[in-house]
Amino acid sequence: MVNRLRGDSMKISFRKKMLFLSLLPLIYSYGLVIYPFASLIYYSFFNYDIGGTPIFNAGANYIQLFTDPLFYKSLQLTLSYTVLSVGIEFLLGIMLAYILVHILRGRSVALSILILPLVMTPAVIGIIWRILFDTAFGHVNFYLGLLGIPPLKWLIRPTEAFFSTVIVDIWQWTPFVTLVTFAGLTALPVELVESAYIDGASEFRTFKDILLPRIRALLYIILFLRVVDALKVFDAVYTMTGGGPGTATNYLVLFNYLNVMTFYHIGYGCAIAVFIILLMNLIITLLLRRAGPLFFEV
Amino acid sequence: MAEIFLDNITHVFGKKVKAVDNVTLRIENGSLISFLGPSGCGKTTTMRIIAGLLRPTTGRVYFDNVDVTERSPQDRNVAMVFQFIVIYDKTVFENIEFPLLVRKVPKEERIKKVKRAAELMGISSLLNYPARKLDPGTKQKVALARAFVREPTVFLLDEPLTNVDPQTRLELRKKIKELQKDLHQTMIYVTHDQAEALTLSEKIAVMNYGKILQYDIPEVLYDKPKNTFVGWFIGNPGMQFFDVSFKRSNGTFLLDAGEFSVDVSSISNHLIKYGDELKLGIRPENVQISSQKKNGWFNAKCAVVERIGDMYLLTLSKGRLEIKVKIKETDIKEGDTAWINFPLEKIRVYSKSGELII
Repeated sequence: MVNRLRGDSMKISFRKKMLFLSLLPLIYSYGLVIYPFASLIYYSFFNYDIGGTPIFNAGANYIQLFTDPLFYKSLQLTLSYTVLSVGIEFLLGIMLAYILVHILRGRSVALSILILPLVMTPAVIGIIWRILFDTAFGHVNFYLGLLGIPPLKWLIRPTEAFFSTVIVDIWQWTPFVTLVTFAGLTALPVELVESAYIDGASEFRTFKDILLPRIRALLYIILFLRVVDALKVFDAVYTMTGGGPGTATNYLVLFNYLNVMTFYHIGYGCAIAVFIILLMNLIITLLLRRAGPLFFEV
Repeated sequence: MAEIFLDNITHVFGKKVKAVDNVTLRIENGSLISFLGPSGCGKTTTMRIIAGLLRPTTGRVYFDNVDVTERSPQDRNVAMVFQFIVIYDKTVFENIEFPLLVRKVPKEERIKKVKRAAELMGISSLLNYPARKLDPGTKQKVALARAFVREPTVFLLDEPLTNVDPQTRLELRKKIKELQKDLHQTMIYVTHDQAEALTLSEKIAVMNYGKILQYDIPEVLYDKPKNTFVGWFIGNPGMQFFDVSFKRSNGTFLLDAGEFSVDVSSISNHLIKYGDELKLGIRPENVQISSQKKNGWFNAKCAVVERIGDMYLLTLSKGRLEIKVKIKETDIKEGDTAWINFPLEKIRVYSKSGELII
């Protein structure tokens, strides 16, 4: 009791506690990040199928990966998917943000509707859209029929299936672009807009030439998040098309998943995962190199 | 260039807050005038109404006898510089060029005009520099250049020097004055800094509670403030006021403050009809003071001696009253007794409600 009241001993025990606490991030980064990542790399150099014993095969998994036509198709599909969906999300999202900024009545209703897709589970979204896209009974074809458009084989034909997944991604993520852009725009000083009006700029011109450049650091962050997310697309596509028809929507992570969980090629799957991680890192580095200086400017 | 006429402008924010109350004002073509008043007096709101950024609740705005009340800021061709320094995320050149670009001015003419405006502001060497990296003072120079690059009907300057460092403030104040003389443009300057208003403007509209209390040349504002607010607001410190009663004793007329009285027999015929209760106003710099006893002067005790710039401000107490005296040189120290006189020609008399009588 007396000891406890003495300041210095209190200090020492506090110091010890803090030292222990400061080890926690180390344990986290080693135990939960580095260890699994290291074993991923380790097994990527083994011929290891489920039930068998891992046999070291040097770089054979990587050679297989880079000679696998399915892999190239998957890579190409993923990149097209990312460019197309993120591109359209940006265009639509910014347009919607522009509209939101200019309406006052109904803005809060619009905002709460926009939030809906963001709070839904992607796996459920995939199932919902699978029903909506159904060729015979789907709502999409029903409404297209009302417009006089013959039914499309949404999830049955490869091209349509690809576009269905893009549509779902746009449906889910455009609101994200809108909300963040809207938040960024409303945080700008009102004088910026007024000054541009007085200088003679129209509303659209003010938006395009003055306001958007002002929030470009924010736009880069959105772009960054969306690109990384789109490259990793999995759940909604898995529940909607399962990567099909054939390999029409077999995006990288699905390709990886199917190799491990369906074909049980764990060693090969690890090699694919390592490649995905490296690809992500490359893209992140490129984006940050372009955007990084923006964040350090006044 | 334009003559601006505000006809009975009232602006109400929400349902209750009257920011501008029945303002009628004619601003002569080519003059530089200021709106001066404390924060929240409605000066910025009035300016925003002139700019077209706000539509007045009632009243009309005329530029050269043309009703522009319904016109957008884009259509009014005004130039405005804000207190909050507005810089676009572009180079200095592109910033200054922007108003010309949106007006589709031909390229050669744009370059020529931008260069001239930059030269006026002394920022020619910075044209290719990203404007957002400049210091606040230089940023405001860019904003001013952006306003001066075209020929607007009127320049609106909304406290443009408030967020600028003191050195640049003096430099820009001089520059604005010179530019106005050269260009002979109508310019409206909003400020709460009377030194700025007094040095810059030909005429000043002193505002409070949304009303224009007095619109006059600086000399008149200083010398004959129309009411006690203007008197108090202009000057450093402003005019001091004493509640006095107008009395007649032994054939002379006195303004009696209790602790002292002033003989006003010579102007008494002006005062008679305003009742017994009046206010006496005098500027601290107009009070005469002496450390020696003088006939007809009254004594007071010096409480505080402060230095303001190159002057001394003495605060003297006389009973419950406090008298401020501003003087170039003095040998009076705190605690001394001094003799004071209010020269009749410097005294201003106000009614009980604060309106100037004489």
